[in-house]
Amino acid sequence: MPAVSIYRMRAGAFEHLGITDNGILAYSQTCTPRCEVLTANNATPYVAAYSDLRKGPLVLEVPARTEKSVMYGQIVDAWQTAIANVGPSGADKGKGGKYLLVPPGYKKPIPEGYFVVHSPGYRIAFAFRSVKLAGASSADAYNYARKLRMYYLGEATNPPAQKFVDPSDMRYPTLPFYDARYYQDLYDIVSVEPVQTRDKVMMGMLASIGMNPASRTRQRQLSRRRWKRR
Amino acid sequence: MEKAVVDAWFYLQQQAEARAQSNPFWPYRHWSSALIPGPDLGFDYVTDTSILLDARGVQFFLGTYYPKVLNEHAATMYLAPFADKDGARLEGGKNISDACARQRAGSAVLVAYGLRPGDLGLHLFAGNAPRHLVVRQTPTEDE
Repeated sequence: MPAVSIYRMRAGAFEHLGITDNGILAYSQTCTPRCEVLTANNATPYVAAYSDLRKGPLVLEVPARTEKSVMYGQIVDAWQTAIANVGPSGADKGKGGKYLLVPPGYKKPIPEGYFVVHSPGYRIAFAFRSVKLAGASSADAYNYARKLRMYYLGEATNPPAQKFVDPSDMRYPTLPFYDARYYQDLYDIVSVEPVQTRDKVMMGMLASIGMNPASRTRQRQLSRRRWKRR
Repeated sequence: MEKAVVDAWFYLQQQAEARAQSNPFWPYRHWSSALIPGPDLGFDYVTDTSILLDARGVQFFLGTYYPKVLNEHAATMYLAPFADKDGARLEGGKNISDACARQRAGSAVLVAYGLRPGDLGLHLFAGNAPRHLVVRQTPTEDE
């Protein structure tokens, strides 16, 4: 349930909002019914993005708290487990900084100067809220959100221009499908993510309907090939 | 297999309602917190001895992006009505406007419709109401 739900948010953004990995959705307005998200609030504008660590470690630059705005939220893995809090309750304590999200099984040296987060899975997602402080406008919160940067570590010397999309007026369908498409989404997850011990029984059940997770060896081969290609 | 997914939806919906009914936020009212963490106050629902599959399923059936830990000083809370004043399940287009009318000004902000009108058990979420403000307005039975 948590995995399919976050996967549909990712797929919904890619299919309807025109972003791909490392593109950032920054709402200039608070949510309306067009934002079809479970438990969304309409008090703080959202900032969200998705990435895939199969392409290597990811750098996320979070701006420091200003007098007008502060950002907070969670980074989650493919099972929607919170792997890092960001903002005043996170490692940066509201002072901002660079987070480095490291894929499972990554063996290369990890550079200094980052808040390092080891992700148990490949596909990660985040949702932050850009909070207006006293006297600040929605425009302030939006401009603050646009200071976020995300790029792969391999691009750190010359990061690409950051892509932002403001989906305030766009329909964003994210609710899980409760029909046959549910199984396709489930397959798209288990065929990519490493299997954790706690999930082996469930993987056995999925195998009974022909859905086999990629073995760890196969995943290692795929990851190695991707890193070599970079 | 298609039927299995539909069955799963109804099962989760029923579990969600049962959970809300057994965790009312106020006495005499049909509201419940939408965030009910596991015993470690986190949201992975993995304990030393088991995985709380139903608790996890229901929590992620209702929402997304939970914090690492939800302590009593958490900055955000979400309250969801789970029944109308007579205890009847909320249904889009039937008794949902009644639930809206009962939302008292200033106690919380109605923020999003979780499901389409016509779905069973439409949830209204209230967000960012500081707990002390909410508690100060605890209703009494005769209210």
